[in-house]
Amino acid sequence: MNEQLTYLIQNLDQNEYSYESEVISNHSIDWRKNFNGNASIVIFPKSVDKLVNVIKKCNEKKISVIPQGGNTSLVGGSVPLENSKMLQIIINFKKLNKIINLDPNSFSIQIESGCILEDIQHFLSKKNFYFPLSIGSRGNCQIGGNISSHAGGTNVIKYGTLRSNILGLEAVMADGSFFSSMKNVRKDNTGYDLKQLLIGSEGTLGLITAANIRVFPKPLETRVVFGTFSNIEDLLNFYSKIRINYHDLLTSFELVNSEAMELVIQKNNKKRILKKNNFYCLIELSNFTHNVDFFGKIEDFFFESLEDSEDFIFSKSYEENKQLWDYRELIPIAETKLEFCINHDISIPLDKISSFIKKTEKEISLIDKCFRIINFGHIGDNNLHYNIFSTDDKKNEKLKQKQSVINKIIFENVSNHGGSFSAEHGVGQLRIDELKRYKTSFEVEQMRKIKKIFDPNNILNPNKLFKN
Amino acid sequence: MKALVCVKRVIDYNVKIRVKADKTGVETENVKMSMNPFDEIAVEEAVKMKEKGILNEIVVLSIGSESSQETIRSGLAMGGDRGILVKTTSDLEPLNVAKVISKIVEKEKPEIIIMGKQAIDDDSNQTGQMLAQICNLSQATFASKVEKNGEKFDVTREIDGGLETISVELPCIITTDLRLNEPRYASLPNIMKAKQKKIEQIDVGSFGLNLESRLEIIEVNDPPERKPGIMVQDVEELIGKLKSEAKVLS
Repeated sequence: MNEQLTYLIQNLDQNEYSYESEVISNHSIDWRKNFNGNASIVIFPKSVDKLVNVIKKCNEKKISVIPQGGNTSLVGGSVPLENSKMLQIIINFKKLNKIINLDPNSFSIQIESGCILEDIQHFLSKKNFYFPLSIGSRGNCQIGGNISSHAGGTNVIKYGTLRSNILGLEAVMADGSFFSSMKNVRKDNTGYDLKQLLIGSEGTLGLITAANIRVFPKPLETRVVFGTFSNIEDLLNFYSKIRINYHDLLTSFELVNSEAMELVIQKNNKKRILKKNNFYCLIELSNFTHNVDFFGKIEDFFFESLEDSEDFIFSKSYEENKQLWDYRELIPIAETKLEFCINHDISIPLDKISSFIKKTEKEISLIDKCFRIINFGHIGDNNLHYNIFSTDDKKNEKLKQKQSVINKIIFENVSNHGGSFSAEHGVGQLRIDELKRYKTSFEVEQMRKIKKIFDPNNILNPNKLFKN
Repeated sequence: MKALVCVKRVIDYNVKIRVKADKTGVETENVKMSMNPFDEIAVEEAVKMKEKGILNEIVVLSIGSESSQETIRSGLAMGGDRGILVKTTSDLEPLNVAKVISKIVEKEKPEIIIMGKQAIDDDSNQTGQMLAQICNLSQATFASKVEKNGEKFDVTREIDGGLETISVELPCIITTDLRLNEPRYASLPNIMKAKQKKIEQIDVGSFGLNLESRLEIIEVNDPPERKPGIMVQDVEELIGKLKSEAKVLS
C-alpha cells in the first residue's frame, strides 16, 4: 500500500476503512451512473476524533477528501473526480450515525451526520414528532449529505427550507479544527453565522459531523388529493386558492405532467386512475387541529372552488395516500428505465411558470417533435424537474448530440424568467459551467475567496461547485 | 336485489400500533382510523354487482360510536345507497356483533350480506360464520371470485392448498378475501353525493339483546422484539453459534 495511505490509517480500527477495489468502486460511482471517479481508499470514521486525525494528515499531505453520505447526489457531488492529479480518498459517514438527543420541549433533535433520513423520520414518528425534510432518496441518503447539499423535497412548502430549520452544526474543517455551534436556541444574532455557509457548500468548506434540527408535531391525520387540469394556469390559480385558505395545513403541492404520468403507467405498470389530461396535481393536506369534520370542510371547499371536480379523488386511508404518492415518487425510477434522458432541476417564480413552460416546450419541439418533456416537481416551492426524453428510441443519439443546445435553451429561459438553474440538487460536477455563467462574477469571486479562507490547500471536495 | 354490507372502523392499516401503558389495549386516541380493508373489498364487490344490474340497493351498516359514520360515508362515497349506524360505546365481541347484525337482517331482509372475512384489529374471522348460523343463511367465506349463476351465486374460495368453488343459494352471506377485487378511489363528486345520503341511527339498546361479553382481555403486549443480526468472522464461529444459540445443529 501507498506510504501516504499507511500514514492516514495509522490510528484507525480495521473496520474503519477499506481499500478493496469492489468497495472503492461502489463508492466512486454516482446514483445516475454518470460520474465514475478514482479513489484510493474509503474511510468510515467511527468518531469525530478519528476524523480529525485523518483530515489533519490529509491537509498536511495535500490529499483530496471527498465527503460522502448515502451517495445519492444527482450532480456528481459525492463521488471522486475521474482525472485528479491528487490522491483522492472518500470519507463516508455511515458509522457516525447516532441520534444524540431529542428535546421534546424545545422541539429539536441532535443527530450525527451519518443518520439515514428515513431512520430519523421513523424515530421521531414513534414519539409523535415530524421531521421537516422528506425526499425520494430518504431510505439511503444521510442527513449530513442533505445539509451539505441543502436538500429540498416535498415538505418545504409547509416547513420551510432545511436552512431555516437548522439550529446548530458541528463540522471538521480543512485544517482539522473542530467547529461547534450547537446552541439549542432559535435566536442568535452574534455576527456572521458560519453554519449557514456550510449548509449547501457541498463539502467544499468543512465536513459536517452533527446537527441540531427543529422538529414539528406529527399531524393527526394526512390526506392526499389527486386531480387533473387541462392547463397550467388553472392549476396554479387553484394552488393560490388553497394556499390562501389553508396556508400551512397544505403540506405538499406537487405537479405531474402528462408525459410523466404516462411514463409511470408504462414503465412501472401502474393503473390509470384518472382520465388522461395535460397536468395532474397531488395535494397533501394535514390536520394538526382537533376540529370536527376537518377534511369534510376541505372536501366542500374543493368542490366549490373547482369548475370540474369529476377527476379529483380523495384518499380514504393511509394505504391510498401511499398508492397516490407512488404516481409522483415513481417518476425518477421510471426515468431510469428510459434509454436516455436529460435532467434539469430548476426553479421559476410562480407567476412566470406558465410562460416558461410554454416558451421552452415550443423551442424544444422545434428541434425535434419526438423530444418531449417530463415535467414534475414541487410546484408549491416553484421547483420543477424538467427532463427531456425522446418518444422514439432511434432518436436518442440525436438527443445526446443536442444536449448542450437543449441545456442552453432551458437555462437561458430559466435565467430570463428570474429562476435558478439548480433548485435543490446542487452544483457538484454537473452544473459547474452554469454556475459560472448564471451567477454574477461578483458572487463567483466572493465564493472563491471564501473557499480560500476555509480551505487554503484545496483538499475538501476540490473541483466541485467551481474549478479551483 | 338488496345487499347489506358491513363495515368496521379500525386503526388504519399503515399506522404503527402502540400498546397502552397499562396493557389493557392499544392506543386509539389521535390515531388515524379507516375502514377495515377487507370490508372495503366487500363494498367494492357490492358496487360492482350494482353496476352489473344484479343489485338495486346497497345498505352500508356499521356498529360503533358516532365516529363510525365517517366509515359509513366512505362506503357511500364508493357507491353505497344509504347507511345504518348501530350506536354503541362498548367493544362488542364477534358473537354479539353477529347478534346485532341479525336484527338488521330481520329488519332489512337483504338477499345478500357481504362483509370482510375478518377485521384487521382483532383478526377474529368469526362474525360472518356466526351470523349465518343465527339467521340460518347459506355462507360462502374467503371469497376470491363471486359470480351470479341463475338464482344462485358461484363463489370461489381461497382454501388451504388451492381454490374451491361452491354454489350458494339466496339469501346468503359472503365474506371477502384480499384477492376478490381492488377497491376504487372515491371521486370528489361521489364524496359530495355521499354527504346527502341518509344514515339511519339506531341505539344498540333498542334491540333488547343480551350483549354481555364472554371474552375477557387479560393483557395486551407488544410482540417480542426481533434481535438484530450479527456478523460472524468465520465458518467455525457460524457453526458454533448455530449449535449454541440457534440450536439448529447439535
